[in-house]
Amino acid sequence: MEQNKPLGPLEPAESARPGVPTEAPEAGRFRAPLNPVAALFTGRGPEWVRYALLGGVLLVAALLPFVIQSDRWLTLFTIVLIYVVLASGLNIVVGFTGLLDLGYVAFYAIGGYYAAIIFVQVLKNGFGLDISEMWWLTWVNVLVGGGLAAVAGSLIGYPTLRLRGDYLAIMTLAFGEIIRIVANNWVGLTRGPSGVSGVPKFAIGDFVFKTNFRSYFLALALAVISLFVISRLVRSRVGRAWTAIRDDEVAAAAMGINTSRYKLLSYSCGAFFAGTMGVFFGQYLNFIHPSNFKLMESFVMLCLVVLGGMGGLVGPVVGAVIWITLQEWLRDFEFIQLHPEVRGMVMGIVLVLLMIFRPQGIIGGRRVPLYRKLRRERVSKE
Amino acid sequence: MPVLETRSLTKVFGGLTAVNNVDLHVDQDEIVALIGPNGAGKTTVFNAVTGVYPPSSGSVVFQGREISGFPPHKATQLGIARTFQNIRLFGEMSALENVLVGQHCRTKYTVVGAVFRGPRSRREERGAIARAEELLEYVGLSSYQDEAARNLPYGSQRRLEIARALATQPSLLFLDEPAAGMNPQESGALMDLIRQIRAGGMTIMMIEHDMKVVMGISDRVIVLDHGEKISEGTPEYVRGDPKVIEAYLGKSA
Repeated sequence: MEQNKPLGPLEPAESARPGVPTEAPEAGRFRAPLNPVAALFTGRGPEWVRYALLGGVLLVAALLPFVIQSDRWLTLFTIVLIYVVLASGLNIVVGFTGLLDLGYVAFYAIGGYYAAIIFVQVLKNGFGLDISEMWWLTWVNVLVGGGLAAVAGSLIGYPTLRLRGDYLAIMTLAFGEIIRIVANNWVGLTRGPSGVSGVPKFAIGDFVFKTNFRSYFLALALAVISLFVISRLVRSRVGRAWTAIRDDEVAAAAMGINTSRYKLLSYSCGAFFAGTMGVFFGQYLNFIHPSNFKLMESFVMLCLVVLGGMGGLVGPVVGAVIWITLQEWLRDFEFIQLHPEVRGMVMGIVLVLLMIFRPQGIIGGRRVPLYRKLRRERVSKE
Repeated sequence: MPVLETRSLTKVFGGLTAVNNVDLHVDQDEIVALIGPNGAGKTTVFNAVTGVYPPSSGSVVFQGREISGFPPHKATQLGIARTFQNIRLFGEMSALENVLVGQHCRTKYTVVGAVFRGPRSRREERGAIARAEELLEYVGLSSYQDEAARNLPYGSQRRLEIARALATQPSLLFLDEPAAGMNPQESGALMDLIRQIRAGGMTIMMIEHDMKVVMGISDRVIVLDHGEKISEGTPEYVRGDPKVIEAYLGKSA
């Protein structure tokens, strides 16, 4: 994931301004061939380059646990993958649809608490079932938790998405806090500040994902599936409607897009991925606690998106990998061990510098193609 | 039966009556120009008809159906497309994607179709892309297909807006000052394009300040001043109407 070379050739050389006399519309323009790295982010340029780079990154990710076997780093990589999905999901809302969501952690919490409550509070304590037998439910939960978060997203989104800009941000911020406060105080359901422990791990029959090594691969698989789904959503009629709303809501409505419905859809889709990751998180750590879902988490997720670059598919991934790894790596310094609060400050400085020198994020929000040519099939099918 | 008809359309903003009791109609395959001095309420008529805001009173009938108060996306679905006075393209999207967005209301698949790409969504998507390419060629923008809309030259942005509006497969096309900021050569090409679109079976209503364009292509001209209709007729008639001359130039003593 270290392909953050300068992306100079991506910026078009000329930008026409209203009132500037134009050339005849027929006049084509010569475009310099993009370099292969740029091709990954723009989708222009040869397709094999993108697939090759994607394959390379996946290969590195798959080989990583064989090279680095320390538990500390394997745990970290798993957490990184969780944040990769969270940032990418949030990017649907913030980057593609242009809605500022400061309460994204709420959906993560809903997923996490769902898994904990259904297993420990309902099935084990409520019905007295042996939850270690119910391995299949760990998988079903991922989808149900995501679905639950998506439903919560549309419930909260329905009244709030009428608001714009700052007002929406404040409402979502409040919602993020409300969920945590409810989790902290509804002791009967969530055990409040003592948290829910004993959430079973993912398992297939007797094969339990109990080591960090196994969990890492599970997280990797979930991340790959999530990113695949997100990329398909974005490169479709749905993604185009979202991007149109971001670029100009009035014009989007004039194109026949039901803007409130699509904003709600964006919100729910983003929430879905947070929900699935919440379930994963709960079943990975076996323990859910309100402090996992603090306000700060929402900000961190937003920072990942901003850091990597909004509105692209690669940006949030790069943001999550760099930021979360850096945060852990900083712990190695003696100075930071003595003054742990400095860590937040370092991250703050990084973000400020980034905003000054590269406001578009490390990767930059360069556009992803919002459609996919489906030509190849013409030969075989039609 | 006219394609579009407004009956005593009125739009009030606070204490300002922007449009006052305007009756107008547009017939099949006609090119109607809506003209008038700045602030006469022309764009307000467009916005009230296309649902950007509901009319304060009066009615809008499109193809025999009362549509006043419909939200904009509904109006577009029924077949009214528009361009904007100050160009409102989706700046970060490519020219082709802009036209694809235009086809939003003529395609159906949503999340499930997007994720699984079943046969139906593939068929729709393929058709949409092919049609978008056709439309870009039609307005002469094929060479800009993958260029971000905001980087297009000004005149081409206007053309792209028209292509995007056509992509919604309208039966009535509203053009809000399509020739604004164009040089004579460009506006000449634009007139050819508008004629060509009409010849393909389209009803067009446009707001325009460029009198060469208005006189050159409209079948009928409607003149608004201070929110009221003051004249209506052929370009020749309107040009000679003393009320119109007065509205534009003031009363001669």
